[in-house]
Amino acid sequence: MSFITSHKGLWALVIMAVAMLGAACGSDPTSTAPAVNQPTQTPVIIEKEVTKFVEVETEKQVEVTKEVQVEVTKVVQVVATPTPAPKDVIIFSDLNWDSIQLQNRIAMFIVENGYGYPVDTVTGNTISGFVGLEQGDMHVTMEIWLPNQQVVWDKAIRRGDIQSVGSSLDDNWQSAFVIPTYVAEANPGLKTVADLKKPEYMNLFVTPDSRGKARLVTCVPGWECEKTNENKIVAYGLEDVIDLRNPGSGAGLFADLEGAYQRGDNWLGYLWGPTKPAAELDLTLLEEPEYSDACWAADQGCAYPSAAVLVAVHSSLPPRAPDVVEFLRNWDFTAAAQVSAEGWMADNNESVDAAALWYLANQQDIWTQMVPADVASKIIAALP
Amino acid sequence: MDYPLPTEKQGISFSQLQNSALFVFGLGAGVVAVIVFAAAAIWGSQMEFPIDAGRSVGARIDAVVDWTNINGDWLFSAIKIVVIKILITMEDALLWMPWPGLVVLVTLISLRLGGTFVAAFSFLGMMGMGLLGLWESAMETLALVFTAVTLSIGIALPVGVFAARNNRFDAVLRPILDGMQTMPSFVYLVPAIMFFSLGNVPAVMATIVYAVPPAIRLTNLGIRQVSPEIVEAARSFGTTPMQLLTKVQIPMAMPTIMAGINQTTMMALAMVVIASLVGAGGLGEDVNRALGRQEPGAAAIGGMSIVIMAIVIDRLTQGVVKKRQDALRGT
Repeated sequence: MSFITSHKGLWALVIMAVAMLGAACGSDPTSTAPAVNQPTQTPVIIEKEVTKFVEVETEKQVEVTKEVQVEVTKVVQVVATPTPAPKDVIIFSDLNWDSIQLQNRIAMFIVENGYGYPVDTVTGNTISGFVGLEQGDMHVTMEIWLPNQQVVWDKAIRRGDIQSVGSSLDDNWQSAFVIPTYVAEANPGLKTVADLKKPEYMNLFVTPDSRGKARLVTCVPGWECEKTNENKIVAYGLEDVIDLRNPGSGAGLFADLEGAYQRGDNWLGYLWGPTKPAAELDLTLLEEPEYSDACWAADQGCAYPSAAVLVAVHSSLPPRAPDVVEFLRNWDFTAAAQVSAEGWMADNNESVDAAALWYLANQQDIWTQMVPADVASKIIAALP
Repeated sequence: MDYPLPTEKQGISFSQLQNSALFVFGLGAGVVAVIVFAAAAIWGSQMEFPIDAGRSVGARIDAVVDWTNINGDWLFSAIKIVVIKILITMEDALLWMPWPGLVVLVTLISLRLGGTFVAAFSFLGMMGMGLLGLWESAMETLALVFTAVTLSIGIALPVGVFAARNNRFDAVLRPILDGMQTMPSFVYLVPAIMFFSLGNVPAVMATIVYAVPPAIRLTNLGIRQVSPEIVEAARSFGTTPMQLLTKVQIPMAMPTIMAGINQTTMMALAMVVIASLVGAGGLGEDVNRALGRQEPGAAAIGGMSIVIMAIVIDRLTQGVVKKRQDALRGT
């Protein structure tokens, strides 16, 4: 560090120090905020500063309410008057697929602007998201798919950590075995799962690593449908025909289908909706005997029942935010709405954030049914 | 850091040069700081970048991946068939041998290469895997790792040798290897599935991408470390370049190359669970399924088996390195 002793080096340091000090002061919004009405500045700049000032204020409010919260709850305990308690943040678990991310953003906009709760998300996948909900690190999950998550769901319900407050995607696409429609058109005789027994149809799906059987990409490991698909294959007597291929993950399943579809290859596998490939690709469902409780209980040798998609909250939420829970009970977001939003996103190359605002702006007669009128008007006022 | 001493009477001394360079640097930093200050004062935290090209650039890359998938099908299919052949052969070979055979074989090899302690560990570890019902999964994982390592060696040896002989190639290669080691594997897993379709093949490919760099780096290093005197002596006896490489440089570099292969194997084992997310079978699949069902116990058993496998393979390959080093030292 010999250069500090030389004058020029010292100068350079001094200049840097002064400049950094200036930058540090300048970037602190609270120190510049009071200087709003400086007459020397042009009107355009004043306008900008005013908008900034307002935003800083709201941010401050949030922080202050957080700090005060403990004392206020004490007061409430003593006096027991319904003073408007400061609202604590509600965290949504942002799992890694489109429909839940869109629902989160719609619900978060409503909760934030209509009910006045601060909102946030925590990103995760099925597993980490579920554990986070159990622990109370997140408070709301808009999609718990049953029976796929049945094992972990039952455990959590037994412990009382979480509860279901409603359902979403009520008209969801039934889980099924699918082939691309171009395969169905080239092979008009292939209509049902049982048709795969015919060698000419089985051979369509044989691959070098499927050991002479038809390769069927099954469900994500650990989900209930993995077991169910195995049972179905046995029930249909297809053990010698079908090689069940584990996709490893939802992303793996979708990428495999997408890749084969682009190349125009034959593909056979398990899929459900609403998902991105179900919305974007032209697929044909292979027929199975109609669902009945009796056959499901016997050997699962029939079509899947519609999945139940639950809206779940951590047990700490209903006591502290009954109005939000009431809203989630009224939650009515259909798979059809998801598909149309998905299409809008693809056509405009837009993000889910934009799609949520698009939904709120264009589907007002649907979502206004889920909230009281005064809340709805607040939300509409907040729309950009 | 050691500075060269200022040389006398050369117009401008080094320390003067250093000072003026620092002055210019300081001035530059000052100007930048003033601009930042001004920008912060005018726009505050509202300031944004002039454009947001993320989505459109991402869409371009998607288009390239799609194009490659459609037009590169012949190449990927060919690779796929070769890899599947190797994989199935390996797996069949491992599962063909009844388990006592493999346990005894590995224990004997461990005894020879690593001594009594390693042999005992190998025996207990393998028996443990078998008794916990993980034998078939373990063999599938082993086949996967061996395939990935074999192919990695096939790539690493020629590339490493070429990099040792050509500095420019080495300079280009180095950042590529850095990228292969640090790029999050999920980034290339999805294209790998699209190209090779689900199963062990994309898993092997992804494993190679992650595991091949140490083998290349250490092959390169090993060849470069062969002492110039030995190379000189070999040349003076009239070796052809090929003889020099195969009879002198590679044998001399063998301990280092083996260390690279050891590292590659360890990294390949580290990829086992990630590879299960693209449908690779074996222990990774067991761990993946256990995670999905929130069964930490089952996940721990699978994970421990991977660790045991890693330790046994590590001790064995290190034993080979040590034997080779001793041989080179002439003991």
